[in-house]
Amino acid sequence: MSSLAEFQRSMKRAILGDANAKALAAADIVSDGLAAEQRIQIHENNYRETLTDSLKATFPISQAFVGEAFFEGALRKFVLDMPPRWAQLSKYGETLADFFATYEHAETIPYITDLVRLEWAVHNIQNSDADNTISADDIEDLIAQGSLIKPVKQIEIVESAYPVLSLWMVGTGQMPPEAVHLDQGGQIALVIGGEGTVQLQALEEKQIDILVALDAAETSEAVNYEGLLEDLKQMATRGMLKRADI
Amino acid sequence: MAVAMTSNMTIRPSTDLSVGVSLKAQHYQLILEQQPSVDFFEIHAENYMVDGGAHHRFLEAISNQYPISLHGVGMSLGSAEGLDDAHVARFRELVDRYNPALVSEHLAWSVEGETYLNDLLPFPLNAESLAVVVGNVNRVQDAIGRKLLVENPSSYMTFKNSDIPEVEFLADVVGQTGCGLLLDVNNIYVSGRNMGWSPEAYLDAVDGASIGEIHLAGHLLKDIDGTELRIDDHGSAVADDVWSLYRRLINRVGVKPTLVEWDNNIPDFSEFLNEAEKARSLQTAMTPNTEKVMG
Repeated sequence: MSSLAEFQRSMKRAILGDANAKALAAADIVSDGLAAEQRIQIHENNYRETLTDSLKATFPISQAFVGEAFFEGALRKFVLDMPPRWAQLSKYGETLADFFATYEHAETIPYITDLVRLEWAVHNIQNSDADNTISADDIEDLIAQGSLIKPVKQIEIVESAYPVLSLWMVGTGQMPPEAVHLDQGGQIALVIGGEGTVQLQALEEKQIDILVALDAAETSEAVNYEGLLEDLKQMATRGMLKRADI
Repeated sequence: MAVAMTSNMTIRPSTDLSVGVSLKAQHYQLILEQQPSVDFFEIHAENYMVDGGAHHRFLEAISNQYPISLHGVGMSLGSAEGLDDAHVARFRELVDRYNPALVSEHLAWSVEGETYLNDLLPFPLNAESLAVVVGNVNRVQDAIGRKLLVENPSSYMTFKNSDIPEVEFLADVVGQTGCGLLLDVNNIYVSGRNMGWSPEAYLDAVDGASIGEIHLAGHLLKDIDGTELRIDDHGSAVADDVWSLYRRLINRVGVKPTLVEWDNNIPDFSEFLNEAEKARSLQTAMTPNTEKVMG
């Protein structure tokens, strides 16, 4: 390995908290006024603070639920355990829900995993491209023409054993905290984008099955559209469907 | 291959790019409504590496009215392992989509072994790193089919195995790749004060013909165990000493496209305009016999 590559590997590991690597990197740096380790610390701080700030901006609702101090503490561990893989911070945070699932201090707030997952889905849809949708009035004609009907790409689904939609409404100030009880049962959230907005809606199990079937179908004959007519019309009204054979 | 030497480069028609400011999401709506008097806006490329959404909708509208400068922060030109193919492709997509007037990146590294460190990290300046940077700059220029401007870094450390002064290192990169320089005057000031060398001497040693853009920004003064350290945080107005250096520079090399950067503690847009007007007034007042150079 070249000396530049060796230095960069040591510096990376130092920034991610490896004390031995920090000593290796420091050996290449001049101590003048400040020790080499203090100079490396500037970049350690930069890394932690900029990524923590970026994640706080992506997950404001989740932070509001658990409090800034708790959230920041968790993020400081997250950025060291699961650093970004790409220079696209819009993609950083995808694994935060998995992190909370095993984060020891989150044991008393098990719903936070799904709330983070929901907030990530909202973030994704905000930054996604959007398909053209079809309306309920189009459905029967499209079936008659043998067209292929598919879910649009600007939707994501979050299934939770907790009332994740209600929790979201508490976090956004649309519902008082006392109106939500964690033991009231799970909810399925549909995150749907379009025309510059992102909406959250409740979804039923049956509709997930339909979406899965529509998504898997490669021809119009693979799904019994006629038998699903009313469901398809309702889903089209909600902006969930597109014509896929054009 | 040095792209500057090729004949099929796409060059946006020359326009007056005297003074620009950072394009921040907080100001999108105001810019479209009020069409403020600035010559161009600069964006961070990585903020627009998404498929859709509000950032692209606003940028499409703003880029119809103003020239755009595309400024990368995550290419990692100093990475010994080379560049990420996917990142280069995403960068090229933005160049193709918005046809920016200026395209730039940093003399820094931020990627190692599939980890992105979200910082502009320094590295030793020597023959080995020069070869790495030259290779990476050529690769970007080949991908985008046009000249890249490489920005001098702000530094908080020096290396025992650095043996090429930064200003010479950058001149060598320019000479071997045909790229240009994005000269960040605040970075020169910050690095000079932190490392104990003269910002004025650095400025005076830069070949003016290689400068394609100038950056100005604010910095933070910190005390660490009794040692003053300047941190390039882009979170305040440009310091008086940096304005003085800017005046010194343009009096020697002429007016170049100048950007006032502001990335943290974002104020009202009027503050951006105030800073832009300071730069414009210095350009206007510069020594009359210097030639005005436009991007």
